[in-house]
Amino acid sequence: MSTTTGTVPTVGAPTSTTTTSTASSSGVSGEGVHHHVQSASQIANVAQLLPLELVDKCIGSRIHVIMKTDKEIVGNLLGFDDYVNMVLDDVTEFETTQDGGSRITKLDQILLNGNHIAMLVPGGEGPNMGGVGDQR
Amino acid sequence: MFTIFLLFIMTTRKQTPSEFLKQIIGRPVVVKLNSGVDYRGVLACLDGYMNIVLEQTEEYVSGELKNKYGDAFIRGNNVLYISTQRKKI
Repeated sequence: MSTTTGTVPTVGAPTSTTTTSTASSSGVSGEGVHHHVQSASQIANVAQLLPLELVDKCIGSRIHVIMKTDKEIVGNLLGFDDYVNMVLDDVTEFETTQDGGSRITKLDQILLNGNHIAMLVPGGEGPNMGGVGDQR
Repeated sequence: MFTIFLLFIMTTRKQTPSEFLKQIIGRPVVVKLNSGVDYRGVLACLDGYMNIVLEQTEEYVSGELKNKYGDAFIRGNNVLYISTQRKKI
């Protein structure tokens, strides 16, 4: 693992723009994901946290998924893939519309389609859990 | 460096959704579509695009049972999630 704690690292591997298109994947969604690893300054910022690394750190813990629509899903993250399709456990589903606010609790595992995910919150507990929420 | 690390992570992680898909074939599942419609049935087969074939399907709209189908094919682009149902003892 490369945890460089140093001064000006003269990194052997060039950290310019590299496109790592992971082909030969299972093609779960139709979209391809290209990862551009681009360091703004090639001098500092070697220890940057990539988004998928952050998601990977969440594996095994609670995660709160916000969809593009008015829906949120909270569960234990079991795994994900290149397209951020996610396998979650012990899932609670929230409809965050003004009228509804329904909670549908599903157990066991779900495969959540990554196409509609907008945001991931590590360790989040979902909307309006905990009592101190705005009341509409 | 990090690219390689991440690639390694992603190749090992990539198995999880496809593993999941292999495990759940034959189980009763709940499939929710983007439109909010719910389908409960036994998972006959599916593919990497989340196209799904269900047997003994029940269609729930807003929580109410609307239709029953012997076999149902669902196109994967409509699928929001696939959920298994744990049997409560």
